[in-house]
Amino acid sequence: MEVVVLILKAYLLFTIAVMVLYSIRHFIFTLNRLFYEQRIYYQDIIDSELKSVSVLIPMHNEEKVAANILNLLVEADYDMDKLEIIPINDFSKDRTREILDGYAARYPIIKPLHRYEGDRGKPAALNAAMEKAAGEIIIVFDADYLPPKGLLRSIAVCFNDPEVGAVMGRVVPINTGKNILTRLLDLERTGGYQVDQQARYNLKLMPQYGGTVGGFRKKEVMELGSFDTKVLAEDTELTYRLSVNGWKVLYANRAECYEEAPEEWSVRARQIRRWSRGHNDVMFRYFFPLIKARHLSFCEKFDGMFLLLVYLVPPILLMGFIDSLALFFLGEMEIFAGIFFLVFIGAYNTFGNFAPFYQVGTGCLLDGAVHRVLLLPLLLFNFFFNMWYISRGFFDAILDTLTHRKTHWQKTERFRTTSSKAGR
Amino acid sequence: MLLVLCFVLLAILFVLPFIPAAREIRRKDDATPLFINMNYCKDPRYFAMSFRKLMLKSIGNMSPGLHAVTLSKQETVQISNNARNIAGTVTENILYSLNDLESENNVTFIKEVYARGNVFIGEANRLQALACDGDVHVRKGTRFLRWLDAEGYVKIEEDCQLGVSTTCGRELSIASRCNFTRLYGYPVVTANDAGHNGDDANSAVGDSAIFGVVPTERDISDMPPHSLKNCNIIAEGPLSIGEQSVIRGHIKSHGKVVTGASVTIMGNVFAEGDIEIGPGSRIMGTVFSQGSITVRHGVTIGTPDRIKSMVGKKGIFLEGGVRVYGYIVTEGKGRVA
Repeated sequence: MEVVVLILKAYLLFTIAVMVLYSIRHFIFTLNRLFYEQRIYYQDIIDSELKSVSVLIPMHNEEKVAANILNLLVEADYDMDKLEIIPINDFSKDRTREILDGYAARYPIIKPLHRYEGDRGKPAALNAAMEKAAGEIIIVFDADYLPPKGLLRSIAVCFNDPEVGAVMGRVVPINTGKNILTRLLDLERTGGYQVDQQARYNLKLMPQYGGTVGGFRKKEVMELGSFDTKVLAEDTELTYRLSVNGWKVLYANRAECYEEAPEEWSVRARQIRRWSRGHNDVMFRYFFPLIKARHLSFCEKFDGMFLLLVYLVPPILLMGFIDSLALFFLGEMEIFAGIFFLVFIGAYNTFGNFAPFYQVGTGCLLDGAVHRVLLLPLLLFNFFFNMWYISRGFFDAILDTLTHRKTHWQKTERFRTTSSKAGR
Repeated sequence: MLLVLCFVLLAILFVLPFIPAAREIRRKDDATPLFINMNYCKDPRYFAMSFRKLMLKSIGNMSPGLHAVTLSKQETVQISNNARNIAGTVTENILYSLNDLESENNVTFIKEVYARGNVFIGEANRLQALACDGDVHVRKGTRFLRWLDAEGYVKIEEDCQLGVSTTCGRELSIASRCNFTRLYGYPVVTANDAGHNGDDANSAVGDSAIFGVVPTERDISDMPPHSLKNCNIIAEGPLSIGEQSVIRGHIKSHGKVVTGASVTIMGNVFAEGDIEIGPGSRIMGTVFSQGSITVRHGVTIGTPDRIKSMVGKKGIFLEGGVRVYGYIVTEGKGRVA
């Protein structure tokens, strides 16, 4: 029994150590955004010779949103001779096909790809479209996104830098005020992009390509094997694949784009579980390649490892929570005497989301959104929600790895009912 | 009793942080999406174009004289046929000249000026902003607080302060000892252009057309004079390029980049550190630095019929005889030596 108690205590200390390490990391990011020099992105570059771009928009039953994004993209500020838009109808059963064909008839730059054979899902759809795409640069949007007029230029310009393999823009929810969930997701995005991603860019660490509102070099990605259709987090996988092969991933805070955040907890649960499952799968694949990568600095590897393990933290916490209960009922809670107890509680509350409260608050401050900071305590509930579903995703990933079972892509449900005014 | 009191206190302390949150959820004071300007496009002449549009829409066919006009707010606009401002005077209203505009020395324009013809600004004038549909000649010692824009040529004499932005549709020529933040012209040239190495016609080809797909070389730090590279170069640290070298590719350095004299780079140059471009060199692409950029005498950036940029976060220092086809911008200090 003593051995069991010792293991339980050791695990609890391990949990605290993990939380403290992540807290320090996020403190550094927050302080960097507040007080240190900021690296500029390439948005100030004006260049009449930008590379040719293919915009890919995977769509599976997207009749609610397809027209919005296409209306915006045909008015984009980009040389139309160097632009093509490829909406990918991926096994849709609703009116998506008719909508896309209607736009293709009106706009020659829209070249829909209808897929009703082969693997379904975003990675497979992107692979098929890349075979058809003529652009040197691929820019990807999810179908619910509303890209501003100058966004393509802001993203494409960074590929003038010969070392850049991919770039990620900033995602802003358009349905922020819908309900408590969307408001909390808005906070999560603010902390994650305005502080976390930008600080990683400032510190020359490893910003993450997020799979939408972002772009990458087509030829180079295809040479590296295109997207693995077995991976659910194709964006994370691409981030690490490019990084370990010597390419840089950039973050463009000024390349902002509206998205539709999930409005129902059940939809959010499925989404975050899928992210966790995919991300942890990538973690299993890239743990050692990241350590051995030749072209990454020590700091990039260090931060890359933190990022790689980020979806492992909630299961560690969940088990730590269970561990603490076990210790309590075993009457061994004296481990929490004094300062350790405070550290543990602090660590728990620090992780309201992927972005801790001070990071979210700083993000709101930088955005000039002062009243929404008042919602910060509510992130406590989001934390428990995320912890549960991310942990389930982690165990899904373990089963995927052990059994080699086939993963199936799950599309996030849309809630839009009318054409968005923001898009007009 | 003490236990109950403690419990109540605990409950209050637990609930307390959620009260402002609940209030915000109910009142929705800050529930609108963060603002994104859906129509934003990068345009170096944006300020001036917006001002012109607003002025023309508001003024219409008004005759010369003083008029109350609503722009972004209620303003008095002085409309004249051929404005001529006497030395030492102060113009307090927005000035709209239907034709040319000429000011003598030491004139102050408190508000914006818009001239539909050519503009001649005397020595040591002070202007808020100037939009001109013709050419502009600014004599020495003049200071712009905000911006200057012309559809035609702009010539700036010595010791001028060029405010936030100086842009034009044709050649922008700047003499020595001028300070700037943003410049846009086709091209932007600094005084004593005699050092310009010419040969524009031969270089008028796109970078992709020149070298197409090229390999990448890493871990280069020092290139001897007369080197020839047909590749992109990615340097993990500082990069030094010897004189009269030719690089048919792009450059990225995680440190400083220093080129010797008469170096030719047929692509873009990106650096995390400072960039120093040697005299008589030619870079056909964009030059970008997270530090400062120093451009020596006789350097050419970009090529005719294409627009390229020079972005130096901490500062840009241009010697004489420099020619840049396109856009120059810094968050720090821009200075013509």
